[in-house]
Amino acid sequence: MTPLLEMRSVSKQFGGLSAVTDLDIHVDEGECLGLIGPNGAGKTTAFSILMGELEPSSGSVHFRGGDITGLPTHRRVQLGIARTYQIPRPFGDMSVLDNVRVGAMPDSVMRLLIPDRATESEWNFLQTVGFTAREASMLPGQLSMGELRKLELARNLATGPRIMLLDEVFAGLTVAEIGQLTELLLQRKRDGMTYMVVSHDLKSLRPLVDRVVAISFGSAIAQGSFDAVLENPQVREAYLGQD
Amino acid sequence: MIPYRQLAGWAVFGGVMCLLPLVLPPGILRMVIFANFLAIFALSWDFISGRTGYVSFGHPFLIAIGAYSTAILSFRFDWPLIISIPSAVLITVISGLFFFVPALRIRGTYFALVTLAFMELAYQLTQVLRPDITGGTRGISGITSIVSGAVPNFYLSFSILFVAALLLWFLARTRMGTALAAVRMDEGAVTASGLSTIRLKLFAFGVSALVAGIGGAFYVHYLGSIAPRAMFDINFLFQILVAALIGGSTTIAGPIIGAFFLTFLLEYLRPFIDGPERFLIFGSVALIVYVLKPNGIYSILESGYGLALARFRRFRPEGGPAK
Repeated sequence: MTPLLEMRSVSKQFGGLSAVTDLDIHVDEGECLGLIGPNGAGKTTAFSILMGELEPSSGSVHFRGGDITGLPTHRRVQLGIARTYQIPRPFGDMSVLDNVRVGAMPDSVMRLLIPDRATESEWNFLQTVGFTAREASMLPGQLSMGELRKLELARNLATGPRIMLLDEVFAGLTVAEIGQLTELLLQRKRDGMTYMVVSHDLKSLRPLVDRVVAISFGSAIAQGSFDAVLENPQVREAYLGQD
Repeated sequence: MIPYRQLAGWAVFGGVMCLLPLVLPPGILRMVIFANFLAIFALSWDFISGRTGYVSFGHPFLIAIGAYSTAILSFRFDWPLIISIPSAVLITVISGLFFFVPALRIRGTYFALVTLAFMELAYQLTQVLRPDITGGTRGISGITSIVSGAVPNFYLSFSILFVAALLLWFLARTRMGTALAAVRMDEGAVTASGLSTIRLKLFAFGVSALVAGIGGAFYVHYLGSIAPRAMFDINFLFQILVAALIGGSTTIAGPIIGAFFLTFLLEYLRPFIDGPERFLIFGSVALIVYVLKPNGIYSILESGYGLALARFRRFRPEGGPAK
């Protein structure tokens, strides 16, 4: 089966520093892949390369088998790849609803030249992630970290993704918020959504992922089921630490 | 939903302005004409710099392209104004897109400096490149007027301002307006939302250049002359910026209010301070307004209107007695 999204032998250097070295990652349609590794392992760099926000020094990125290495970010989003950021990036002076509506906008000047009114589907994206009508008119500065993550998720959903790259999606959330978010992600997964999830919160990651890839110093050191990867001695040494 | 209140506001503004020639003497009316043109330039600048966050220090370059193009075409080549003005606007839009190309790669201070460099380059080139056509340092005088007299020129300049303001107001209310605001807030997040920021910026730059070109072309026919020193004057640039900022950036009414405030302030300061020191005063006033009310005079008027409305609602009979 052709993977939905794949990076082949990708390396990325920042000057003399190798952030990612000869990395191969793939995720199949409907799968949830977890990316784990210590700080600075290259997980976020890998996401940025997959999104086209960073150009790889070598290697290639493929979506449904087609090479998308040179494709700009917005075109990748239009193909169905979306990402969230470690630190959420809302549009600070816009309401929650308007933030989501930017995600739903068509990439066409002519189609943007229509009066700016909220559509039912845009409201639905907000409701899907659990925002109320009152919260829809709030500014991002008034939201908690959990709500900001939900907002970013809603904006991503509005772009119509086939796969979502979730970067530290559980960071800064309360236990209750993690539970709600996990339930939401699982619900979308049952509807066919594919995920790549970066998280340091292994406990929260566990119920979500089908497979895990562990990265250390920019290279994959293990992959397989969640338990198998965590049992791997190399992973324990690099990521969890060992006596 | 049709924004009746805002449309009513535009209608009142248009109505009041149309009545001005009946009550104002020609001298004051001429000041209003200058305010109208400054408002057009400030609106044009604000559409690119206020909405998308790309602060341009080279806006007079665009205005000058429009002004010089129609001046040269009509004065040197005897083109009729009906052709020279649209041609000048077209040339401005094309030049504007070229002028803003650096913005596709850079932003912030670097963008501001590149646009400033463009203006300086155009200033120097205008003086030395084909002075037989541009008029060199002396510029061109004796340019044909479209209409003569204060009243017809007032109506002409106001019509251009009104149409430009309505066009930009409409654009600001579309999804495009929201998308451009998003570009100002976080360009990366706009890209990650599936929108081409290059396309959005080119659109904004094109519209900004269009309004600047129209303003510049009509302005030069009103003035009847053009000289590089006046067109590329740094004070001219500051007037445009300050008008937009103290009036209220990212609004449509703000730059118009700012342009009128600034024009009359500078003019009424003239009897007391005749020299360029006037600009120090207006700079200080601009600074005070900007520090106390960063959103400009428009926000002061808006909060005043809100307070008045709240008071009216509190005291009207169906609202019940005030407690």
